[in-house]
Amino acid sequence: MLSDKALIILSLSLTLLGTLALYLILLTSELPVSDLTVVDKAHEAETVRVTGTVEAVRHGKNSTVTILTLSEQVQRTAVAFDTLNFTPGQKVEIEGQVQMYEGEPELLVRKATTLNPTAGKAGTQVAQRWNSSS
Amino acid sequence: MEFLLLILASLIGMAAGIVTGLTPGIHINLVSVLVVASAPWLLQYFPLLALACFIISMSVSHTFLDTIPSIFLGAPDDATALGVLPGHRYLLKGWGMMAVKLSVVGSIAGAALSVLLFPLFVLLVRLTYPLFQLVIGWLLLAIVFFMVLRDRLRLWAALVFTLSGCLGLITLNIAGLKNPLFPLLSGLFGVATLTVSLNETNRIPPQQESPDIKLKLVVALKAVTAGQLSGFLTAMLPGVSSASAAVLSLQVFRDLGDHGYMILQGCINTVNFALSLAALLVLDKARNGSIIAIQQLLETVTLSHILVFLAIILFATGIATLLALWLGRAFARLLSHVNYRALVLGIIAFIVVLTPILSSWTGLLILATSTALGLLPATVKVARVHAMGCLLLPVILYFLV
Repeated sequence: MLSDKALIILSLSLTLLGTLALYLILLTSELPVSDLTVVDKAHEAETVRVTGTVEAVRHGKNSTVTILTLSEQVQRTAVAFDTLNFTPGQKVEIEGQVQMYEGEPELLVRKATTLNPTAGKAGTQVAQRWNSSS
Repeated sequence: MEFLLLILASLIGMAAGIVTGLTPGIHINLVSVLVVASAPWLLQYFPLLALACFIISMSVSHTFLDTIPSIFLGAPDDATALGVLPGHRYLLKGWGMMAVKLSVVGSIAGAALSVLLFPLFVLLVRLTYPLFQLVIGWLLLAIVFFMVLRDRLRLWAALVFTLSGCLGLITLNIAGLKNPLFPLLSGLFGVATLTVSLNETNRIPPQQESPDIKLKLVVALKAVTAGQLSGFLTAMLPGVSSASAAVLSLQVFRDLGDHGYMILQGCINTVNFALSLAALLVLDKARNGSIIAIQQLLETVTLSHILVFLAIILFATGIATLLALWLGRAFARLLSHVNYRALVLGIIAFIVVLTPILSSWTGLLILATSTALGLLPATVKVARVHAMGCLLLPVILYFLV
């Protein structure tokens, strides 16, 4: 039978080792890329990664909300609670949560990346607040 | 015809509640997800509202029955984590059935009062939520500080909270991981507790099937009031579990004793579920997996839906009471005839097998890590509730960062 001290050391060691391993998995884990059709009611509340072409960009009055219209087979709306500097025609990759808004599926943006930077500003843009489920 | 289908769906829901309530590791969220996923097929036989009633009655009967394994097997979920030690004390005196009865008393009172006071809670949520919303992150942080500081071993309490918080943050953010809560909570509160009970419990004394309970009315009233207050807190504050809310309520309602404690535990879980309907109606926000599933099924939840759900809560309460007493007795009898260690090992094996099926192989690593972490509170003798940091820390960071 293990003594309490040995059990504490064992528990702590395994906890730290496991947490470190999971952190490495977190860093390397990537969602598979899907097309825009995955943004539908069947995938509500799921986090997905999709690609699409920006058709239109709208900013909220105080610029803290960006609404993107994306198309690729189907047309979908992506909402970011941040300022995203995309322009129409850019191909983008967006990671976010599928949600229903007024009966229509939309994507709540967590991370957005330009795939063809020559068509606009390059790089990844991260939405500051993306989860409004709480 | 629709009425009969609602009743039928509720009865089937109660059968599902027996399975989820008695089987550690099988959570109502899992069944709720399955119902939503199978909705296109189920809708051939049941109306949409019946599917929602299935989820409601399953959740209510679950709250009545999940104390049975926590008392007899020492295998709680997050909602019953707090009650394990007093429940185990009853078991070791041969009074496991008494603990079940007290918990059922709490659940009945909790369900009846929640339905009766529902309009008042709706009003309270409507009036106070805007204030709560402004300070919600700081309030949750204050709750964490309070819980850590009240513990005798503050450093260990802070360490358990921090480590479980980090584990929760990592687990909930691993891309593409399905059902992350299953291995996380099963490890912290399920497998860890079962492992401790394997280590410490060699023999369970014969259990009395119908023990007399001497219960003071004042204690019962205090416990039920504390349960209502805790249920209100869990409905208002995301990430605050029944166990954390109970710790806070116990600061206001002291000296409940073990009887009062078991009543509080039964009460709080049922109230928590009933009042999450008030949060849904007023705030359109889901506070648990069952409510998320109902939201997904119905899209718009109206007052008429809520009234049907409250009726189903009362209906399920009546039948779940009988089920809990009958199944509690069956459990007490079963324990006298089976090898306790083999039973506990079987449950651990069941959870281990289920984990990769529900959450892939990464889930097994989460289960192993959370089990190792879940062993710490029992070993260093700090309250297990600090491990709820796995949910609280991500929620606090969401509101404050």
